[in-house]
Amino acid sequence: MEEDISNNTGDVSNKTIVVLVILTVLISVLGTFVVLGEVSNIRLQSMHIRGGSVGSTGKVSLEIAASGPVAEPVNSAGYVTLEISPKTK
Amino acid sequence: MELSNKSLALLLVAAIVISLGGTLISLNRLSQQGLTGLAAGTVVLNVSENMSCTIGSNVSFGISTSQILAQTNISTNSANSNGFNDCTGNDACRGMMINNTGNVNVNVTFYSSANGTTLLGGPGATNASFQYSIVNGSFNGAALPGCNSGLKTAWGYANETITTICTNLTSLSTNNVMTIEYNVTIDANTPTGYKTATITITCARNY
Repeated sequence: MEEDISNNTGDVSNKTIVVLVILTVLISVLGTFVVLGEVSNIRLQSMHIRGGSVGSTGKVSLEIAASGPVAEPVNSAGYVTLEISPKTK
Repeated sequence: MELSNKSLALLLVAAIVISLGGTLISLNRLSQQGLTGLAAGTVVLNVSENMSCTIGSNVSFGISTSQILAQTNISTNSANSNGFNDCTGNDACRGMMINNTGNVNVNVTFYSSANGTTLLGGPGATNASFQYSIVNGSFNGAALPGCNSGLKTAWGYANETITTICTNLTSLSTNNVMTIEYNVTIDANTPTGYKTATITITCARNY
């Protein structure tokens, strides 16, 4: 009855609206799955190329800092010993 | 306010177009980027300078067990006589090992608390009675030679004068050792007793 009325008034039918809603939901869901699939593919690729060349650069800098303006000399002591026993005389 | 079905249909078509467009844009961006979350970073390591050198072994010639009748020479690189330690096989007297345990190259100087005359005493003792020389590396110069320049290899009198024995003892873990050998000459008139010389090694940073 309503469809007929819509058709009569030049408006779009409710059936068409339902079809469009279902299409919208399907396309949205499918698009989401496609994007997720692509992301997981890229993640797998990155695991394979780990250690290989990747299109990015990093920087490692190394600094050996002096302990002071002038490092103080360090002393260490050792001993040289011998004993001459009395019976050697 | 009520929307007509025509308006709703237009909105739904717009939603479909936006959803498809968004998906296509996402796929396009992903294919251009390659990896998501890829970022360049900076790692900064700060290693502090540490200057340290140690004497790894003292020298003990032991005790004479037989009478010394004539001038006798004992050395850290010989078997020795009169009951003194055989320094060829005894780690107690195989030389005084100096190890650069820091992470910078160093100059090394040497001085002794006693010279030959004061160490031994007696009428026969002279400064020549107590001598030293340097071998690059550990005992017998076999391993870890660390002195790159200025190594004092000739025998010299051990005395209170500060003497440079190496101008560049490196800090590499495989090349950071040198060894001081000693030679003592005693004779029949050397007084009995325990003789000790304290050796001081000073390591200064090699700039």
